[in-house]
Amino acid sequence: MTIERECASLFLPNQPHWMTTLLNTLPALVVVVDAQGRIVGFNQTCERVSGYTFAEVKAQYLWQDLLLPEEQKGVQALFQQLLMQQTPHQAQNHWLTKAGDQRLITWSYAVIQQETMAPFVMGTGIDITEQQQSALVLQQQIDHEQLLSTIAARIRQSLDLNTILNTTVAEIRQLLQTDRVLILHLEQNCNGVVLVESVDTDQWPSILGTKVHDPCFPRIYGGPPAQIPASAIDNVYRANLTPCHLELLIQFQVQAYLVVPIFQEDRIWGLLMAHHCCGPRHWETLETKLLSRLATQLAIAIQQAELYCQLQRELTEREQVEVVLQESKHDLEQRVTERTAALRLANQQLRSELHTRQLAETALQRSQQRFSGILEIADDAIISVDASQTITLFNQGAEKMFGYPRQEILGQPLDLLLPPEFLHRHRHQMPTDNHARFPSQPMSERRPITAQRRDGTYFVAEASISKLQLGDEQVFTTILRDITERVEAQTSLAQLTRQNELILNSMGEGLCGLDLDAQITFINPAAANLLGYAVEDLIGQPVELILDPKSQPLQTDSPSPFMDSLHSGATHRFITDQFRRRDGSIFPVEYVSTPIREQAQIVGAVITFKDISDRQVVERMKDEFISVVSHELRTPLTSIHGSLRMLASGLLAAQPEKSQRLLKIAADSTDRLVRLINDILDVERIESGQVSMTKYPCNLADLMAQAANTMQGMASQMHVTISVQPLSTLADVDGDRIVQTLTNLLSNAIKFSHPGDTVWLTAQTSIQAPPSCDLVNASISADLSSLPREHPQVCIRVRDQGRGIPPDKIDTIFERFQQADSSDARNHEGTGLGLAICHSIVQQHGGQIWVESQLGQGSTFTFTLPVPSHDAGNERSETNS
Amino acid sequence: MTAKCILVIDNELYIQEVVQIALETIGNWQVVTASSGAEGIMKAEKEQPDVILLDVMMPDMDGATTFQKLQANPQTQAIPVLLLTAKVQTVDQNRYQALGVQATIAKPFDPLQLPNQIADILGWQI
Repeated sequence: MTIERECASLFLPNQPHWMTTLLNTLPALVVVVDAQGRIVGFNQTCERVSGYTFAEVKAQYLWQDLLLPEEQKGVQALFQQLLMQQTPHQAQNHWLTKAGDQRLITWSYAVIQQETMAPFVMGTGIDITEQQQSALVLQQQIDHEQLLSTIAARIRQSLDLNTILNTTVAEIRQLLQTDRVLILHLEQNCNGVVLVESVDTDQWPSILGTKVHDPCFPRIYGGPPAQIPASAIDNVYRANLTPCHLELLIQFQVQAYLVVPIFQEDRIWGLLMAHHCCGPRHWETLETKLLSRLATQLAIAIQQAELYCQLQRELTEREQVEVVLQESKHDLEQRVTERTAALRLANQQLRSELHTRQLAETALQRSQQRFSGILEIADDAIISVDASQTITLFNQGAEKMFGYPRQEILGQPLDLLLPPEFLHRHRHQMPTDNHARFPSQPMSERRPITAQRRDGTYFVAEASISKLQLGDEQVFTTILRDITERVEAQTSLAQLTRQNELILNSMGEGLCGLDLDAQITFINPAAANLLGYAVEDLIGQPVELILDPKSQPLQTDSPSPFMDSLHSGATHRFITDQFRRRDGSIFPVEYVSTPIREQAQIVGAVITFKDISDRQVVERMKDEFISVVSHELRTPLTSIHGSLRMLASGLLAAQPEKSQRLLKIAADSTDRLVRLINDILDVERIESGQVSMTKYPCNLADLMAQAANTMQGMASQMHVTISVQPLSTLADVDGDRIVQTLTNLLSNAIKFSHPGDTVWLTAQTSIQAPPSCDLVNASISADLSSLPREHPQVCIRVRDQGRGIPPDKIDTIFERFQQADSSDARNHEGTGLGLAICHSIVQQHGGQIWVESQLGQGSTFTFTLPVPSHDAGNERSETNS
Repeated sequence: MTAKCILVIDNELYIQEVVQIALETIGNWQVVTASSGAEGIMKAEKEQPDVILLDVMMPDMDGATTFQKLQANPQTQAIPVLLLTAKVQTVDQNRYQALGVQATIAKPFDPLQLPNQIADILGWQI
């Protein structure tokens, strides 16, 4: 060190030299500035660190060149503070060297106060730049180690490669403070694809998933791992890269990059890349190492993951194999089960067959026992004979039927059981040697034979014969059934059937049987006759054929009574319906439709019907009669009622002649009513047979005289003569009723005679028919025809000279209330029933009555009475008047 | 008011008389009688009565025939006809209605009510 140098580093005025030397020898930096901050002392250490000489900085403000601009104000403030407080102080700041480097220096400041002189500030500093850089490197290494250990730990803890890679690139980007970190997976041909990426997409494009094709890659990365280095490019534009590589990088906006290879076994797997896009960047060696070490860890993770994947694949394959095995096992078990079941079934079938066979054997045994039993106890006689017709089997039934004990008959010839006269026929029926070529013959058809009991009586039996060939032995077996009762029953049935047929055929009512289809299955002759058909024409015909279409139900859903009987089983009775004859004419019927049941099942219906035409005529006549009777009774009642009401009202008090007239009307009408009622009762009683004719032998002459005497008063009153020619003959008659007949006839004759006329009452024995059927009641005419022509009768006549009867009234004159002129009854006080009573009385005596008349000339009423033959001709006639 | 003229046609003389006495005494009407349909038609033509009381059951010509003839006769067809009958069963009544008669009075009738009955049917004031 030179003097000038020493001098040059003078710090303080009046400073001793030794101090200057001391300060210059100190390894620390010593700088002294005045109160304005101008450098007044600058030791050699300062000169070495800053690169400036004392001369170059002397009187320069400390902060003029040595301090960083950003630290100048802080140092100035610190000086001011020191000067004011004059207390030592420590601080750090940088010096900017003459060469432009920065040095970090830690300072101790002190204020030097020398009597009257202005204060100085002395700073003593130590250059800690290397120390600090070492600390930084150390910190970086620690950070790297931490990152490595974190990633290594994660790799150890996780098998999820994707997560590991993503986390790794993100943390690397954060640690390196760079713009993009990615992992490019290289394939065999060195084409790559970006697997994972960490990038701030707000600033830089994402290239995740991009396929990278760089023709340089095979050359760079195609060799063995040892020849593939890490690559750190601070500035791509200055790195002399191949154009294709540069083009790729520019495409990704990369300005600096750091690339380390990731190896798997002995080949490259991919690249771990850090891209700096915002500008060139210097990559520290540490960073390159860190990335290389991370690449090693990633290689482990990748291998681990691939192993895991392989393991997973193997596991999956194993599981699939296990599934297949499981299925095979299940299939095998199933087949075993099925086979077992089949075997079990076969076993069961075998057992079942065995059991069935045992049952069959048992049944066979039982059957044999039963057969023996049945054979023994059968009602049928079972008899076996051998080829020589000797009896070898004779069961209980045969014992009962024939009356032989078994012991007695066995060994006997079969002929013993047959009547001698039937032996020949029997032998003819037995299977003979002609049939010997047939080893056995089944039971023949049953046929009736006549057999003989032990007591010699015969009976009819039904026999069937079989032949059994047992080796050389022939057995003929006959089963006989006594059909005596059946034959008798059949005979009875045939008789009954015949009887029923006769009954049905002779029935007056029609009878018709229907099947379930309402077709005629049976019809008796009466029914066919009523309908105008032959019986055979109607069999099989539908029942509608005989129904009146107009009388069928209007509503189709309402079944006809026949159909209802067939379907519901109801019995229907109709008292008025209509059937149709073959010629289409309709006639009224009354019918009953009844279902036919067999064991509660309807099998058809039977219709019983009869023609009610006659009955309807009678009913109509009856209605008319009631109407007439009503009128006849009401007529006198009207007169009586009217007269009495007028009289009772007092209106006629002042008219005695009218009152008297009304009284007579009432009295006469009352008489008429009484007579009418008596006659009605009379005719009804006689006609209905309630009044029996008390017949006894009467002399007809006496009766005629009695009647004439009775009417004599009336005749005299009417100035009419009665001329009687009585016939003395005995007749078995009710004398009172014959007198009543005669008085009625005489009364009529007198009533219709003119004054001075004669009425003749005569009688004679004769066989005389009515002069004309027109003049006689039809029923009497019929009665007449039934009498023997030779039967003796007496004819009694009442003849008058009255006005006669109009021809149109002749037919009905004997009917009730049928006067020749209805007003006659009123005018002649008749009831209109007198001739009807006469008719009834004569009819009850077996006689006839009729009238012959000529209008204006008179009428002759004649009636006959049968008389005993010995009285005929023994008559005596006389005339009284 | 002129006295009404009533023609009574009935073959029953007693009934004729009772009707006549009743109508004359109570109704103060003039009564003409006839004993048969033919006589009735003749008297109807001649007398021109205000109403005809006609019996149904009569000989020769019954009430129904008589009525039809009266209706067919221009001289008598305007005269109202009332049937006076003992035949009052339903079947009879139906037959009368079918003929077209104005009304039927049943026998036996109450002579005291008869004039009122006739007047009511024909709307007369007594």
